[in-house]
Amino acid sequence: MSISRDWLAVLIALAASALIWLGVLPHIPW
Amino acid sequence: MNSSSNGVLKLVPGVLLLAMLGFLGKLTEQSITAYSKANHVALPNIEFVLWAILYGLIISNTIGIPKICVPGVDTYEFFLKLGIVFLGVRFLLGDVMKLGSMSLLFVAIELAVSIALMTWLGSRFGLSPKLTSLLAIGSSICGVSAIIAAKGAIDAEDEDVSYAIGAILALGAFSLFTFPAIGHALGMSDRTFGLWAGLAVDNTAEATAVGALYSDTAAKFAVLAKTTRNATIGFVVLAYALYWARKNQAKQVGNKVAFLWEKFPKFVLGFLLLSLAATLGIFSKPQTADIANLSRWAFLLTFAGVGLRTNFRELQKQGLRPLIVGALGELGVAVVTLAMVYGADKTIGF
Repeated sequence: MSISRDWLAVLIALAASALIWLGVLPHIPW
Repeated sequence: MNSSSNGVLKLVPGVLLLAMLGFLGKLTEQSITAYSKANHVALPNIEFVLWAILYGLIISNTIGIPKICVPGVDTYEFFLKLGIVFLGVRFLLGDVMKLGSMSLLFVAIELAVSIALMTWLGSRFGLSPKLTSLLAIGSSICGVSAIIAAKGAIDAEDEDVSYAIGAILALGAFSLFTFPAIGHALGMSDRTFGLWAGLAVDNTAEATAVGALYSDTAAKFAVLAKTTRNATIGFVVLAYALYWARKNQAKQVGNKVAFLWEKFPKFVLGFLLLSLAATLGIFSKPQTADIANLSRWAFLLTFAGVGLRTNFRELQKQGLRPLIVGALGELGVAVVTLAMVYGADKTIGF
């Protein structure tokens, strides 16, 4: 249960970071 | 496919509620700052973290979380993990190793103190040995997830599990309001306060929130210290599992390495990977800022979830003795860890 959620968090975070690196995602404001 | 997309759809209302409350918290902070600037009045700067938690608390303790939102609200822990992985980008691997190993030393002392103290208090107050084990595990490592990880491993009773979780959550809520006040009273630096919060506050969500209530930098260090603590979860649960198995009151542990890997929080690996990428200079400055901002947004949802999940009526139903044992144990841990980080800061500095 928690294990698969852990991996999902890792995958999503890495994918989002890769998209930012590729310039696909727009600037994320705060 | 249908059932899994249904499952995801069920999460939408609750996730929207988390996002709305978090965003409302952020808007409130910004509005107050803008108002005090425009009108030249000095108003206390209350961080969005506290507003998000407060709005969550108001809903959960008045109308309650709408049923349709319950599955989505439970994802706040997922957003916490997501936020922690993103946060890796703000650390150079060398700092992680340096501060992590220093934290590890503190964690080792903290583990010993908290396990010894809880075991002693548990027997003094006549708690069942397994409830005492759960409280010791929860207070020494990472609160709720450690207790749940240990439940199966030591064959604990459901009632004991809910007592232990209740006590840890009640104390976490308490620390949200007391820790930042103590930090300010002692004039602690962001780094020292963050390390203290990460070492002394049990649940990762609350530890992050306590750090963020102090400052953005304090939150960063709170997460680092707390993540180090979380990484030790397997070893402590394994030790308890072996202890209860030897007493023939829990099933035997098969492959110990597999056991450790199963209990290891995998998001820590993601955190290290992003920190490695940042260390190698893969991301430009604006890209690093963007990823760090994603981490802030993920934490925003977590903080709303912390408020929503805290129901004072539910907490009151928990047994008084586990709460007293938990509170006394936590107080001891808080004092010892405060003395450690404060002493280390004043003597060697970090």
